[in-house]
Amino acid sequence: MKVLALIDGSKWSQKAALYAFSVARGRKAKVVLFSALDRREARVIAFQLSMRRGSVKEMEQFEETAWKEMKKGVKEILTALLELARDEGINCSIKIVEGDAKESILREANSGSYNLVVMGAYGKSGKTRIGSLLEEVIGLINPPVMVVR
Amino acid sequence: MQVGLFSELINRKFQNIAENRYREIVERYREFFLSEEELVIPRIFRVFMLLDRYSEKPNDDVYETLKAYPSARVCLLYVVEESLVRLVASTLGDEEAEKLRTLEINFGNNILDEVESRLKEMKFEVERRFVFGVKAEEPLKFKDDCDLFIISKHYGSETSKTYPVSPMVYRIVQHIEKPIIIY
Repeated sequence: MKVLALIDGSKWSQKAALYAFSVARGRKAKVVLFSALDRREARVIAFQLSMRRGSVKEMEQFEETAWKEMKKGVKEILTALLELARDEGINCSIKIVEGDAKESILREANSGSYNLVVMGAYGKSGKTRIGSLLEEVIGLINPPVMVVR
Repeated sequence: MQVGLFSELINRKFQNIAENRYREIVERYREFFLSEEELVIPRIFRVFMLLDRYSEKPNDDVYETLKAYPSARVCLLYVVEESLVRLVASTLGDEEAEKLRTLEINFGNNILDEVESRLKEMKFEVERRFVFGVKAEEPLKFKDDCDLFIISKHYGSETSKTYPVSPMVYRIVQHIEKPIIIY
């Protein structure tokens, strides 16, 4: 059995990873911690910051910094989760891709390799609302999806 | 020891903030941080599986996932929309409503028999309930009494290519704080 845990860096996706581990522990399954990084997110951050500062001169530099931070942040979280899994004797690996989150998730989840997909109900914006990505992908993912809150 | 991994991660991000201030910030932003208490691999003792006329039968992957929790007790809940029976009674009469009720009971019990039998083959302790009620509300009555919900994408209504998940499923996901497997 193979479980795909979708990690966007949010608390909810980390909780999702814990549920993926609970399935893996009971079934001796393999867990893949998957993260899709979309450069457009860094662009949005850079644009908003530039607008607040009233200058667009440093926008590209902000974007580059934000992009590096996004990559570093998600790697730190994935590595911490990977270490936790290995300490628990769970067969776990990491996969990070760059591109549109929805497309990347659907490609991976529907690759035919997974029996279960686990994801958080909320995104990085916290509990303001059920994640829009979740609403977009849930009906399009072929394996069962465990939504964690 | 594992717990320290995340504390270290958070501490690194907040390295210049003194302890009281650190605690205040972590408390205020707790929906963004996984606390040490929450960093536990969860255990599942009670599973709730929702079924109705529109639900697909659980597939092999659902049963494979359930095998991860062999000591869990599984409760099957089949719901028939009571308002539909009332509508038939008020338009076509009590006799037709009774016929519908009987047909729904037979249909639902056949599904419950099939799922119950598969779960019992897997040595699960199974309990079953059959209710006439409000499909969107019946599951909420059990939200504090179980660790995991399982529901079909089609629970509550017909779906289409454009709308592959029933709106009732979204409503249930919004109101239940426990993890939900949607198949």
